[in-house]
Amino acid sequence: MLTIRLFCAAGMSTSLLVRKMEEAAAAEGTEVDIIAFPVGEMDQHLDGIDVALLGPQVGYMKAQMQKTAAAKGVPCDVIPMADYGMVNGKNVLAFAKKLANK
Amino acid sequence: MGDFVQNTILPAFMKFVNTRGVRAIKDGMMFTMPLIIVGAVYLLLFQLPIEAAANFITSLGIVPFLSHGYTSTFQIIAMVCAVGVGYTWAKNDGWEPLSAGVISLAAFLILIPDYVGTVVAAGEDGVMAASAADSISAAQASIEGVEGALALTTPGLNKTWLAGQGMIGAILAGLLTGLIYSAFMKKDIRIKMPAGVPDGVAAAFTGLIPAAVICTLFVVIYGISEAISGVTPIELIYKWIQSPLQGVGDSLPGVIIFETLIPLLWFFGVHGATVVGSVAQPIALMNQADNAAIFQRGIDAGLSRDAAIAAIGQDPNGHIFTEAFQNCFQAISGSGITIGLVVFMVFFAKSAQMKQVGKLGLGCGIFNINEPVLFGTPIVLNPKLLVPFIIAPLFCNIGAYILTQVGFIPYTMGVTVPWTTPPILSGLLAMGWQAALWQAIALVASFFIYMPFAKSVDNDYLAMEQAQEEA
Repeated sequence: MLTIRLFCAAGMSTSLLVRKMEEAAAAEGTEVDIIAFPVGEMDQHLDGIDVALLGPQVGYMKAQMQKTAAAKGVPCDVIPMADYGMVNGKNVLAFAKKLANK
Repeated sequence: MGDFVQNTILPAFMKFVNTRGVRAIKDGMMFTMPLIIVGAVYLLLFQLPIEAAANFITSLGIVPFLSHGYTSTFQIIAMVCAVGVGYTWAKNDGWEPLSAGVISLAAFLILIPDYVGTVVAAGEDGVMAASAADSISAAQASIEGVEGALALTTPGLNKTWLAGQGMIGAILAGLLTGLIYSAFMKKDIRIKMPAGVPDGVAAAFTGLIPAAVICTLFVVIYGISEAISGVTPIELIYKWIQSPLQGVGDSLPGVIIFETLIPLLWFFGVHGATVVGSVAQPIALMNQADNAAIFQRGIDAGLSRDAAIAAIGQDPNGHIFTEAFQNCFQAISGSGITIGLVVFMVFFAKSAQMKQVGKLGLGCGIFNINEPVLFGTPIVLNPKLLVPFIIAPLFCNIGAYILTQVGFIPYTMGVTVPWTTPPILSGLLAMGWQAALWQAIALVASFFIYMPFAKSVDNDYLAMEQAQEEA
């Protein structure tokens, strides 16, 4: 089971990506638990998760958020712009897996 | 140039946006949102733009209740803002936040008058002269030399300052409280309970020392302000800080700066609306609350709905740039008003890339979300689309501003809509058909503004795709 949390400005634009990632995971038989949240609530959603991904529009907060995530031992990085824009669930899932080392 | 902006200007800008104070303001103000929206629904219900519907609501006899609900939600947002800013500051610093929020609330209330109007009664000869002076000092001055005269006040929370006009005072109270509270916690200056005292009991004493210091500080500020200027601190803050700020935000150049910065920041991949919002949002909210208060005064004075709205435009405190104005014109179909680009991509683009992004962008565009378009087309870091990306929202906002100024689009009177409300519907609800009509025009205009630029990008992609196929 791979637990992924996505964070963007309001948690809205990322929900579309969540669906595509779930579809991609189902297609390759990976069990996932993916939810999107506003980046401001990140500290409340880090417990027991495998990886935290940031939308590119909040990429400017990367350093700060990586620090927050690292405190809970969670890897955190910014989703590549092109994959985010094209809502490429497969690529983003692979990106998350690589980050989580799973 | 791009490198310079990304490596030098942007980090400096972001540093400002991410300072503790700005983050506390931005996130703290979010707590007012539910009250603003709920209050707006009440207001919309008892001030329906359609006469038959309005008469029906009136005949039900529920208008006073709705009105009460409205004044108790929308009209207390400055109080909530004080709590939110102090709370968020303490929370971001990792301290127990509610104490800080509660102290902020008290600090804010110390800044404002604890009386509602002042009655001056001159009694000796049996003649009662009453006047509603703004402050005790003003009332006392007006009866100086009159024998046997008394200045009386009615105690109560003065609602003038609980919403729009008290906003900057509330923000300042929240910031100062957050700063001092956090400093005390950091230095570990608090009453410590011996081991064995339950955590809950100990926590109750955590805020005691900071509360004493912060509240006393605000009482001193109040005393000095009353003694020297004869008015409460909130009135000074309003006159010297808030009013000028609101004036700048409400001016056409102010609106042009906001609306240019948003797409410009997005061009560099940064969420422009969030960043600009940290400055523009408080101003828009204050302006919205001012308009609502003017509207309410008009209704209370017996004006019709339309006349009360028109009165907002006549009032020196009436504003064009408000929360509702922002949500109706700033980013319809998403930042940069990209619906024209999306329509082009869906129906006219030849390249597979653009067709694909267009399909992704159409659904969320209706709800004013366009990240797939921004990152997928992409518009971010794509100089070929920068010009329409800035022109389309400027056209919409400058047009809406001028149309409001000349009296075509009605001033916003307190009703607002969430920013995800589909355009045309949002204009209709918040202002009226005039706003909806202008939104429709701006959406159509977006197509023609983007088309020449989008064509060129489409040709590039098509050439690239054909080259790939041949290879």
